[in-house]
Amino acid sequence: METKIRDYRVMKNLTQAELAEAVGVRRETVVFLEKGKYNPSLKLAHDVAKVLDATIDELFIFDDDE
Amino acid sequence: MTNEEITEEKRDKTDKADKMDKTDKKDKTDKSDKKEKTAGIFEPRRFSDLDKNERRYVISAAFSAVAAIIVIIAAYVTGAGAGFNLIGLSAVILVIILALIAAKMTGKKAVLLAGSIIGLLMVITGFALMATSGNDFSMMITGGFIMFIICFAGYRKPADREIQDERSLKIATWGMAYSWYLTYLVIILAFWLSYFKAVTFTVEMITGLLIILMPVSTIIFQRYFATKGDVY
Repeated sequence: METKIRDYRVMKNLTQAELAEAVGVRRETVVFLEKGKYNPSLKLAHDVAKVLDATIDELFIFDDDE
Repeated sequence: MTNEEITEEKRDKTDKADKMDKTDKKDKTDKSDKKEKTAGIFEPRRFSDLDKNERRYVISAAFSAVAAIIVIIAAYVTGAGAGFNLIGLSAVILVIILALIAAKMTGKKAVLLAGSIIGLLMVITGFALMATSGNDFSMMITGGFIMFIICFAGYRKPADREIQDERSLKIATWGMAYSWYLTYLVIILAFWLSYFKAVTFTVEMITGLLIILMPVSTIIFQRYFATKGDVY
C-alpha cells in the first residue's frame, strides 16, 4: 500500500504532530501511515482525508489499483 | 482634600474591593475543589464516572481479587487447604501488587525510577544471597522482577504514549495474544517433558517461569510490532 498523505499534508502546511493531534492519534501512527506500513481503520482513513481535504481514494493507493 | 487625593482614595478602595472579591472567589473555588475531591474519595461513584487511570486501577483490583479467589479454590481442591495463612499471604501479595500499580499510575518519574532501582536491587541481592548462602531467595527475586517490570515500563513511557490510538491498542492486544500463545506452547512442552520424566519441574520453577515469560514476551512482541508499524 502507498499513500499520498505526506504530499497532501505538506500542501496543507501541517506537521506530522499537528495532523496526529487533529485526528487523535500518536505521531508514530502518522509516520507509519505516510510510509504505507500501517493499514488504518476506515474511521481513521476518513478522519485523515477530512483534515487534508481529500478523498480516501486520493490518499491511499492499494497494490491492486496500480 | 484635593480632587487628586479623592481619586487616589477611590482607586485604593476599588483595588481593595477587587482583591477581596478575588480572595473570596479563590476561597470559594478552593472549597468547592476540596468538596469535589472529598466527594471523589468518600462517595461511591459509578464505574462510568471514573477517569481512565481510576478505571485501570479498579480493573486491576478486580482481576487481582479474582486471581486470589482462583488460587484459594485451587489450593482447596488440590487438598493443600485454604487456611488463614494462604488467605493472609494472598492478601499481602495482592496489596503489594496494587500498591505498585498505584505507584505506576501516579506517573511520577522519580517514584517509578525509585521502584525500578529497588526492584533491580532485590533481584541482584536475591541472586547474590542465593549464591553465597545457598538458601532459597526465589520469592525475593520474583518480587523484585515484578517490581522492576511494572515501574520501569512506566518510567520509560514517553509523555505522548498516554494517547491510546487504534494502532497502539492493536499492537498491545496482538502482543498479549502472541505472548499468551507462546506461553501455552511452553506449558504444553513442559507438561509432556514432565510426563515422560525428562525433566522434573517444581511448582516454583513453573510459576517463576510464567511470571517472567509472560510480561517479557509481551514486551518483545509489542516492540516488534511497534517497529514493524502494524501487526500483519
